Amino acid sequence: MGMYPRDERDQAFADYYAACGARMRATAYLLCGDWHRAEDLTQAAFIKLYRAWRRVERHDKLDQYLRRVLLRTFLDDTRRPWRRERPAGDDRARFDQPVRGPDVDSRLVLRAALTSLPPRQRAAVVLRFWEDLSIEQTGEVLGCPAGTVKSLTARGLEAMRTALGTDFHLERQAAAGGAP
Amino acid sequence: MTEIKEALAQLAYDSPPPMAPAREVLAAARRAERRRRATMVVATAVAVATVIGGVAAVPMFRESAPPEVGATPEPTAPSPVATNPVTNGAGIVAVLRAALPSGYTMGDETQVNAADGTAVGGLAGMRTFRAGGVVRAGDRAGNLSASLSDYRAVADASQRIRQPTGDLCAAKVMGDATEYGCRTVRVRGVSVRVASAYVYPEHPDTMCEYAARFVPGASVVVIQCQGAVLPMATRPPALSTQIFSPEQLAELAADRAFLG
Repeated sequence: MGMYPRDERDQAFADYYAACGARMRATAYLLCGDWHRAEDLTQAAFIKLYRAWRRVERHDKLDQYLRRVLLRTFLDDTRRPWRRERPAGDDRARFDQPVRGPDVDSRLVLRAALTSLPPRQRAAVVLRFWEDLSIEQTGEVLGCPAGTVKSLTARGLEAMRTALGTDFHLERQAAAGGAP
Repeated sequence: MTEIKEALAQLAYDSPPPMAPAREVLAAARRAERRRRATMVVATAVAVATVIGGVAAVPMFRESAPPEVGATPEPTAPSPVATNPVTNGAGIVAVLRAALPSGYTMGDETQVNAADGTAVGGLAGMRTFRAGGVVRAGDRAGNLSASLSDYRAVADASQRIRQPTGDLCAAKVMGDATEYGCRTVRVRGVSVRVASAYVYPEHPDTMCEYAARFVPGASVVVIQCQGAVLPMATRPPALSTQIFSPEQLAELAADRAFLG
């Protein structure tokens, strides 16, 4: 049970962060839509992971465990919106990429569609289509049965399709060099 | 489906800012762990002292009032969004400024934080009006802000924050392992939950105190922080004490200007 020197343990933790931190932060970004908040969520998840590191580091579902921690952190955060003070001017940093061309426009449309979903629907879509988790794995992370995952995903996709509309597909095609 | 997958990947990998280095995250995790252990040691000592003394001798960690069975229900406020006079950043800031003790000022940088509206990434249908900002005392600075939230339009019932009854410090209400010192303060017959927490666990000077008051379908939370919530490079030294005592903060949260 992790009975080896702390330095080695910490090194293993740092290596794990280096290996999958970026991916987790990208997941967090898709969930919350703000790079700064995504950074905070990722750090908070890793801090919680560190607490349990001895117990879980050799677990064969470590990624899954971390995803669950990240998701819980995100959902808790959305339930307590006042819990997070934001640095002055931080609103400008939200989805703060410069707007250039149809490709960026389609990202803005997608981002708006994604953030319009309720948090659990958004989580289901992100876990299924970004993290490529199966229905069962998504259910494990979300803590709900497969049927609920299916319905959350279906409703999320439906809402996104409605929000994205035809323009999104045309712009994607234009960005890919295809015929509009 | 492929379209959605590709689009998500494009969104996620498009020009992300640099990641925090592993050593920083490790250092933050170690600090958080040290703080957690220190808190546990003190909490255990308090519990032992309480048991030995046979009385709640040092109720510093949990002074919440017992459930108030049969207590007079708190007045039902109208929606903070629809009818409250301070549903904009300037209104909220005016109330906060008026409450500041002498020697404290809230500067112009406040305005950039004002009028949050419906939060991106928040709950669909929920509206939050939030304003406040940097409070200065000499060359030191802290933070003071307030959030007014209306949950009534949240479509997903499971996502709503329920109107708490009884013990406002109960974990099921708004529990968070990083919060401590939670207690209930009564102000003119209204219960206000006051608790402390770090905004950013890795920055000790972001210790903040939250006073939360709930009414059906809405809440007001006033937050004070000893350190200014500004980017690290421009952050002045933190205030030596919090701006308000917990009782004063609760009083501010109970201000009728915020919620009916």
